[in-house]
Amino acid sequence: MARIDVARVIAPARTDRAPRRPVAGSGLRLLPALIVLCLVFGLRYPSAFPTVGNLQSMAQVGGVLLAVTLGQGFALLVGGFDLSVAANMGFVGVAGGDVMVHHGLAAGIAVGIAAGVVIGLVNGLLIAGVGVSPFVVTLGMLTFLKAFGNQIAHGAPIFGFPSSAQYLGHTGWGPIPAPIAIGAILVAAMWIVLGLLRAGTYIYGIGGNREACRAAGVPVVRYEVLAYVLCATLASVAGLMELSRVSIGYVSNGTGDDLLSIAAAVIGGVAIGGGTGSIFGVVLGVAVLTVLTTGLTIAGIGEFYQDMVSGTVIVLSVLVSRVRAGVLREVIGVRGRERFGDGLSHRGVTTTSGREP
Amino acid sequence: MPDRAESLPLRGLASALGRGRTALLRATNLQVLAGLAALWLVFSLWQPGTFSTGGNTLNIARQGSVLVVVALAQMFALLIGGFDISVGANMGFSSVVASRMMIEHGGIAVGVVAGLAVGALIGLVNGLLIGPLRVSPFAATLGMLTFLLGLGNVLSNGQSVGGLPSSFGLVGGADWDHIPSGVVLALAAVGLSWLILNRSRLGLYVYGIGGSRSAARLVGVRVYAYEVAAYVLCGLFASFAGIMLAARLSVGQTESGAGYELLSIAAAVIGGTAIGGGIGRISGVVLGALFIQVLTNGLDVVGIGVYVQGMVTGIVIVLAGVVGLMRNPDFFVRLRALVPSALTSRGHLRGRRWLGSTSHES
Repeated sequence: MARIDVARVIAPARTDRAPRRPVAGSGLRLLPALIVLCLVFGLRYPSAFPTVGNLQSMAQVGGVLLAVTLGQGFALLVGGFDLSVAANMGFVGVAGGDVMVHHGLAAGIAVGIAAGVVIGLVNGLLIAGVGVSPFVVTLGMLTFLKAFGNQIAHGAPIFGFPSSAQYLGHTGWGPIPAPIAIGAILVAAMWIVLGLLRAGTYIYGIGGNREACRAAGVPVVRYEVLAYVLCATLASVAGLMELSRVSIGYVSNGTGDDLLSIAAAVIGGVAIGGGTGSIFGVVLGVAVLTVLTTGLTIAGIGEFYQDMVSGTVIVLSVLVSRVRAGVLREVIGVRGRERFGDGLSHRGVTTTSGREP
Repeated sequence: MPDRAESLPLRGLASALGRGRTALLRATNLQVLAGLAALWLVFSLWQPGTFSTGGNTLNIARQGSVLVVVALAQMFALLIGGFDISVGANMGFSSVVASRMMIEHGGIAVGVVAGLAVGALIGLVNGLLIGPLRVSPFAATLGMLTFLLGLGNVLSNGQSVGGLPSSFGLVGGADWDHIPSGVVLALAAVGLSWLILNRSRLGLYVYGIGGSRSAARLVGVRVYAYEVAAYVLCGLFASFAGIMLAARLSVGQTESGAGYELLSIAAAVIGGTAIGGGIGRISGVVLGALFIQVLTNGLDVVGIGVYVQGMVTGIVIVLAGVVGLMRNPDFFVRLRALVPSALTSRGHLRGRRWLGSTSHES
């Protein structure tokens, strides 16, 4: 008897945790959606959507979003999120761009990435070390970085980068568009971190159950800080790519990518709250969002309606993942009965203990 | 060994802070009040001619009244254990709906009622998504924010809706016999939320659910129903703030509430409302909102550039979060727990790496 009981206790925990595959995972279900979207836009607008120019522009936009979203993935996996990624991109556009104009490309890249590491360290130490909520910390960081960037640049955009800067996100590396090449390198790097290194196991583990990890001797704080540093560093890389793409360093570079990156990750199956998500899902989430926004623009649907569509898509994608997790069934079935009171037991409880005036 | 020597002062600091909290950090409202007084003193001494004048005080009261109402809205969502980042978009959207109804159907009452109804509806959708459907508050209200910005711009053609009846100013813009109407309305909102939170079953359950959801469910509270109710109240109060803002600006505009989602959370947290639920007082939220308003206004008046203001605001938001944590005894337990971990036998080898040198991991 005792054995059966143990098995019963352990089994649900296993089914909760077992299906974590950092590479493929549940993101695959997005592939049909992506194909359908491409077919619809391609067949409806054959002269505008499936052209080389449009594919290049989608690659440029999507590559930048991919870099931010991969970073956001680390923050989400560890159980938090980072609202400061877009401000980070704008700040790097100004600070890194300024250095790039005066001291050359390499110095600019170094300063940009160093800024990302520092931003991530501050975020991570406040969130993981001190225990302030990710919302408050990254919101404060967002406000600070925007203002600091404006202070540095006196509110003006920065021009005149060396011509080599275009290899960061504008022209191609040979036949491959630069953003795609950089994106592929980042995906490979993330796959190594999450799939091969101990850090990946710990990051998933901390997001899944922080207390269990602590009890098992994982240095939780360190790996949580690491996740935020990786997040901010990738955001800085995205900031450098965006700077190259638009050829302007401005504080408003990347505006909106904070929410878009969270949306893309969530659409790709990364759970808000941590512990679940795959790289492939993130890539597909970014692709779906990029194709959707580009397609809607080509279809002549205004920016305002696009906002409405993205808002709905964000909520729907979470709802779909909830349905897959069986929550909806649970809510409508078991909890529904509990809520609407089919059983005497529930009524009894509320009238005797809860409802008594 | 050097690690040990270095860590001891840190440990002493942690325990000293832990001991000090009972004396220094207990009375949340007193702290905020002291901070407010200090701010007022600094700005008054800095710019006596412009800051501490009757006109500027009235100005602070007018601007602050909107923030107080949004912060109260946010408080309902925070108390029950979530948050609502769509309050700013809700304000702008409700102001557009109210303005359009006012112009097309005449009558301020129609517009105000329509605005409030739309706000409550937004709260209802948020609440249903977050409560029964268990979408995370972040994803649900982020989706709502994006959606409302789009729909509001569609309804207003991306412009501000002007030409409102001049008497609309009485709902938050103009003065009622020398008393700014916004202040009166904010006081009414404070009274209403006091009644709800402290004199009704709903309030009791909101605190209870925020404190422990599972315990509330076990004693028979219909958790989802009250969660939906809290978000409806949040939406309702947010749209009320949006209407007050529209009355002050004399236009309805989708972007008019931008920034209030963050300021409202900051005000509530400064005032002692815990992110995570169950803890928070109305008086604290009002003081927190006033603190932010005095800070913003003061920095403006003394002529500090808008960029530096942004940097100061960012730091204040994070500091508020840290101070908010200090009120929780767990914070010091946590701090103390972190320090001896560097003293254990394995800690000797690891040194003080918990403090952050992370980039050479893996």
